[in-house]
Amino acid sequence: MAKSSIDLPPKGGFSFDLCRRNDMLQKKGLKPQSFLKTGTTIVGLIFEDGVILGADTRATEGPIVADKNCEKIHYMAPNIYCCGAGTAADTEAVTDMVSSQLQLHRYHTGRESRVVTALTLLKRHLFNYQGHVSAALVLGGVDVTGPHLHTIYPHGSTDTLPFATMGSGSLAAMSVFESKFKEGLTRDEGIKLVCEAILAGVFNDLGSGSNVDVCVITKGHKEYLRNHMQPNPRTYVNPKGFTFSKKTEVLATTITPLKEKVEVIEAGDAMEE
Amino acid sequence: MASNSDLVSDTQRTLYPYVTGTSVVALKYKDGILMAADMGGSYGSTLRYKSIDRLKPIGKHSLLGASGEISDFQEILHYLDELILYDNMWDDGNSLGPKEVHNYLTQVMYNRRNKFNPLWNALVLGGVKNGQKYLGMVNMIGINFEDNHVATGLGNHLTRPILRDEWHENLTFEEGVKLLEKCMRVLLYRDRSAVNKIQISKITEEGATLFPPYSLKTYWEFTAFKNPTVGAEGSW
Repeated sequence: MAKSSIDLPPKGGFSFDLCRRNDMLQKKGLKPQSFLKTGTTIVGLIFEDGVILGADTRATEGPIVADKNCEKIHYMAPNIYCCGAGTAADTEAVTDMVSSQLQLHRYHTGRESRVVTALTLLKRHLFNYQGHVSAALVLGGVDVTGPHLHTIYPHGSTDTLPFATMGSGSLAAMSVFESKFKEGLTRDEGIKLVCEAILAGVFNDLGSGSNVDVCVITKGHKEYLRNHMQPNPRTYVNPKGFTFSKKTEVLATTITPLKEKVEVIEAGDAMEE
Repeated sequence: MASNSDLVSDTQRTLYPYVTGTSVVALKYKDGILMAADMGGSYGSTLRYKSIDRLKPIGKHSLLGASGEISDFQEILHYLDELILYDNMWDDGNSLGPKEVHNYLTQVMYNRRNKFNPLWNALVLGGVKNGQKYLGMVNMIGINFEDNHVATGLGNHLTRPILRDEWHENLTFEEGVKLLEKCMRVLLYRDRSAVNKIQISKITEEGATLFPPYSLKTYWEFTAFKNPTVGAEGSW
């Protein structure tokens, strides 16, 4: 008389179990989730010796700036870094997870991680969650096969590009890249162009702001330039800090010892009560 | 009391645009205003018309550029024709300058918006009168302002950052055209409804000049475009 169905382990491929439920919810009026471009400008470009990644440092919670100086360029491997736009928790979790997987893989194979490995791990994970893990990433690194730059969208699609931008400030940054990018940039030219693109996002997009972080990856060497540019300093800063105008006067002093005064009752009588 | 919106039945109200023009970009330069737009008219996602003139001179002192519904643009031109005609009939030596035309357009657009029957356009109005340069914008809900450089539609996101960085007072004609071309090129790469046939026009104290349409050169020779899967055959 048991009506419960046996739970078969998934055999691989896409599982359609929830489609009927999703249909029912949609008929009841649940709007399907749309792609959220949360406040950020992240960019990457390939220059003559490797890859340069850039990001702004503003984290927003609706209309409020939650973190004025957060880090959006995440470590994946000694030779691979990843910028993340979208839900901050999702980008952190997904990059952390793939970073650990890459390290285990490095121990297993005894070789330096490749960018395409990180790419495949990320896109498989994101596709599996059908876009609900809202992480839009710019992945860049240099491995044995050369410098690579990829963009990864929340639904799991990827692109391989010479220059890339993501986030709400991506149009402003892309306009800078489309008008000024050329192949074979030197390191200084590349950093300058990345900074210009991020600054276009910082000043023209309300979801991006504060400082510019830059990360330069070349063969065998990486440089993480945290707060490479700080174009939004606090204008008026009191050098003395905050001081109270007059000393507080002491009106009364009471000292309460923290040890309790416990009454020890004779053992036998107390237990019987 | 029947409100105005009741008098206009739903079948006669503009609910969605059909044939649309994409962004217009304009900037002030040393001698006047430079304006650029492409010549495409899209019917939804089809590129239906490839020779639509979206920049028109108005009277002696102004230039109008429009994006959005083309039929509404043609109606606006009709209204402006009448306005200029009545102005000429006064025959008093005075003529409507760009500020006045912009004001008229703002009134028209806002009034239509209040009646829930908008003219589905974003208009750019530029001109020079008595040495004073003027560049303004008005859109379908009546938002209007003037600035040293304006853009409509996707141009706001893609070209205003470039203009904010690189515009300065007293650009020469060549510098202005080069800057406008830079903006139009970015739009050509990144706006899905852009066409590679652009028109630039200028207006100075002497009058309006519409230059013949031409195409922009584009660059597609990046090695990453030619060989994207180096090191990972089979991926994309």
